[in-house]
Amino acid sequence: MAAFTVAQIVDLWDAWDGIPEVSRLQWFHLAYERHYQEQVLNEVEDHLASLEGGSGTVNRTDRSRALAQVVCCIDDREESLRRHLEAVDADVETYAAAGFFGVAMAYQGLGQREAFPLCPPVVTPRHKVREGLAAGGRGSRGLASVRVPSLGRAKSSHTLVRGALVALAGAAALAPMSAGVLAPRWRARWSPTRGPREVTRLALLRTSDEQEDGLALGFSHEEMADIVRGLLAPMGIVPRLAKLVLILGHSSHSENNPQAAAYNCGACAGGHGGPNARAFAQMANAPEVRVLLLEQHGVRIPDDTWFVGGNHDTADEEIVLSDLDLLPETHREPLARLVASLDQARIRDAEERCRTFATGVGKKGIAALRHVQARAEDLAQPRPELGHARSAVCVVGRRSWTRGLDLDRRAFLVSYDPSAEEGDLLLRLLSAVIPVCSDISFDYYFSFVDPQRYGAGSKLPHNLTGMLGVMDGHASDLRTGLPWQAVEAHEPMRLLFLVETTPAAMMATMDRNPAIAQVVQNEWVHLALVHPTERTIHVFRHGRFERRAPALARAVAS
Amino acid sequence: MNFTPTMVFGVAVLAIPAAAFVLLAALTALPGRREERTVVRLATGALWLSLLASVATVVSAWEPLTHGGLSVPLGAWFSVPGYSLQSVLLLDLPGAVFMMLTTSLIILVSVYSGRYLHREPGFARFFLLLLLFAVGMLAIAAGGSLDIVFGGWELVGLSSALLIAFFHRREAPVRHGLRAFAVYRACDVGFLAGVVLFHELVHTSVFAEAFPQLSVERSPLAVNGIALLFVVAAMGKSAMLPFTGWLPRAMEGPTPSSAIFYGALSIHAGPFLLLRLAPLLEAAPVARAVIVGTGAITALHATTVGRAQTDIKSKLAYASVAQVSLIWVELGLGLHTLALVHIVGHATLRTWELLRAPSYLRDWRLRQEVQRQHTYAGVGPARSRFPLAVRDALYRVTLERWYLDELATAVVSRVASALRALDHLDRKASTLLDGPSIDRASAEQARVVGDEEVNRGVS
Repeated sequence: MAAFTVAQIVDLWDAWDGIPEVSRLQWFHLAYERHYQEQVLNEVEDHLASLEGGSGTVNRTDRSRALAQVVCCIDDREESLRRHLEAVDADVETYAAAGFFGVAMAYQGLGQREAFPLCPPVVTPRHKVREGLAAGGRGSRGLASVRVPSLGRAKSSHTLVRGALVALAGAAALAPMSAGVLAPRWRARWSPTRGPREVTRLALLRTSDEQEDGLALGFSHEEMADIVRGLLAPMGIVPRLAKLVLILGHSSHSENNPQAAAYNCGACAGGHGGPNARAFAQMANAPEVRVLLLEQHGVRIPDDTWFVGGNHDTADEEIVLSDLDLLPETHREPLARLVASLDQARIRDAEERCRTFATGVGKKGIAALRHVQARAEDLAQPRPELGHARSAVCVVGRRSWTRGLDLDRRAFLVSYDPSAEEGDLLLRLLSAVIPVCSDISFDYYFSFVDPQRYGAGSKLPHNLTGMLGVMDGHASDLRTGLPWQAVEAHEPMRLLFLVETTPAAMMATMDRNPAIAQVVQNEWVHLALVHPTERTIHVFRHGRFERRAPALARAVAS
Repeated sequence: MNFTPTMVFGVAVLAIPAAAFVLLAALTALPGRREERTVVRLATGALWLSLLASVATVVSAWEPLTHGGLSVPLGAWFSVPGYSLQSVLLLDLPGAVFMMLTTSLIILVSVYSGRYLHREPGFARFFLLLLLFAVGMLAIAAGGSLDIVFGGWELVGLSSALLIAFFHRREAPVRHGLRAFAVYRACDVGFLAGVVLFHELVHTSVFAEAFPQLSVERSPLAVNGIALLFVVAAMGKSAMLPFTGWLPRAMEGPTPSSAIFYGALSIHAGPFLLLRLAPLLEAAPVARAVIVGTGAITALHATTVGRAQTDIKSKLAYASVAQVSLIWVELGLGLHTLALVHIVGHATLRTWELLRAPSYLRDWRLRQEVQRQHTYAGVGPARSRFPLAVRDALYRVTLERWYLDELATAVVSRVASALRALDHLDRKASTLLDGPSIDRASAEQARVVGDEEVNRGVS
């Protein structure tokens, strides 16, 4: 444009003025999206190039066995944890799969009255799993692990006579209120739920044909084998299973937040991923299941591989590992090393997150961890964590070519090994991943773009109503969608899917799944492909895949 | 006038938040951005100092305070030949308790809001209004003459209404803020009339001077009349029947402001006024009967209507009203200590509940698990005792809040249409006599011009 004459610029300006406003806004938006895509694709290309050259980032494509492997959820918040874990400990590999880990169950925790489904909303669980006290545990039903309502939370303060009695003693509420407002982290330490937990076990194995509410109690060994294979095969992890494999679900905990489920695991329909991880680990450790896997599916799990289930709290960076009392002696040392690495990684994760918080900027080390813990415990904090805000890209492929790439907590990462292709692995994976990730992206997109109609507006006037939703103030429409405090950090762009496969395979997948085809061809999402062997990038534009021209793209971006 | 430490501390309690208000207002008026941290530190710092000052006041005047109260004269604030209006601080036990309750709760809400309102437009405005409210409540708590109490009373009403209308870009908060303000002002007619007649009766509005005079036999009509006027004023602030309609609608403001005003302090300003005027009420049995009656019927209203509410803030609003009406009954019966304990406990509890209102869903779920209940109870014990038709009728009546809103609308609309009819007659008469009014012609012209500007395309 610097070469244009004045007359040409005036012509351009007049032409621009003549274009209807909607088109102009659309072009600006396309440019906004393109700006990010060029940036991210350039980074990916640079990273790929550095891998070829053998320079730069640490790469674990060598054949030595890893110390431990961690399987996380595909959530974009786990991207930074995985990155930091790999940076802290070069002998740890990370993978990702949908956070329910294939275990579609209705889960009834200790002390809970009902079982809640922990699987994607489109899946109907057909199994029920209960958590019970381990043999030799206390006789009570673990009510101590459930927070008992205390002063200020009981319904009795609403009535007249009982309310009067409660109100006369109401000055006692000054203590928890002062602690809760002035020192939230300190108050959380004295909270009853943070005490030592009882030893529990999952009743995972189906022992009879008994059914409860139409759900079978537990899984049979065949079903367990199916689930284990369904998760491990597409990731390409089976040939290189380490001694210790950690399955890490995730959840989030916040106070005074009616929309807390939005921060939990989307693959578990807004629930916690911890029980699923624990169930999977128990399944994969069962000798009968391993025998079935070998005989019927040809999947060989080494005898010395042990699976551990755990949960990562994305709000306060707490990582809890389950069933450690079942861990064999031989694995204590690798576990200790993994735990130390996880500890370091979560502190770095907290540091990275603190950069995005106005009151947390500049905090390092333990101070950063304490800051995010305080945010999670704080009643008065409308932004305990950012959730999926800023999510922009979904990478489906091997970790080998994204390891070391800093995607700034903006990427959903899905582990997929193109060389493990048998049948329709890619189809099944994308049939799950594309709807889930694009739905999350649209949730944030529309709540940002129109907070009044699609989003829930500011949290401040929200009033819980009907025990099922929130409205503004005294009376208003139900406010659905995400609150402004949750989306204001978001950049509204359509999600970019970056899949490691060939254009031919992708077109075949789209032909076989019309839903994916519709979403891609109608430009609800952007799609780019990384060729598994040639390492070229193809972008889906105007109904076909175009090879990305690196040099031109670089010139345009700079 | 000698400056005793008590006087200095006492004035400081009020002056520090007032000075912070002025400073913050000046900061807000300056161009450029203010850091949120500055605003919060200024407001919270001033309130902490005010709390310290109130503790110091109480400590320095412990002896006289616990034995009947201490009156601290500060000079005349308005005088004409033959009469002067004195500004006085009254420090007694109820006042000291209320003062410290006020500052502690406002400090907690202010710290809470500093985080909760982060990045919200109107951040500084919230703290300005909170400081104004603090000054008003402290004036009510420590005021030694009806004039100062009235000044505080008005400030509390103004800041309440402005905080209800905090989200002033939406229609509902503004409408409900106006409604609350209208009720306050209507009832403040009672306060003002009461003050004037009080002056007439005892020739002073200073409590320490006035109350000894009331023990003398006086015309029961005068004393009861004045007491009833103050009762009307207190009814408006405390949302007693028939003025209850504004309170659930007042939950339009941000959660912390709802907590501090309608859980904690503003709603207790009414009972506190009655507590202050206890000697007057002792001489006015009719007023006391009205207090007890109003309290009783409002308690019935609030506890039944509260059960039919479907959202948590309305439920808590009615629970508040129920307890405040019990406090009224206690005051009417002369149980002052009980009433004070009730005020302190209820204010603290309700603030805590309102601050935690968004957690209600999760707490309810947990309660279900522990208590093994599955369904949410409807209308209370009446459900099991009354037949279906009666229960349904009861539910309908309580859901419609005893049809008070319809009643109010009918009354107000009748009055408004009567006034409009009078206005119409007036215009017709003046047109007949003077020709078309200039005002109307120029107003029409201005409107036409305005429309043209709009049509030219303001994009």
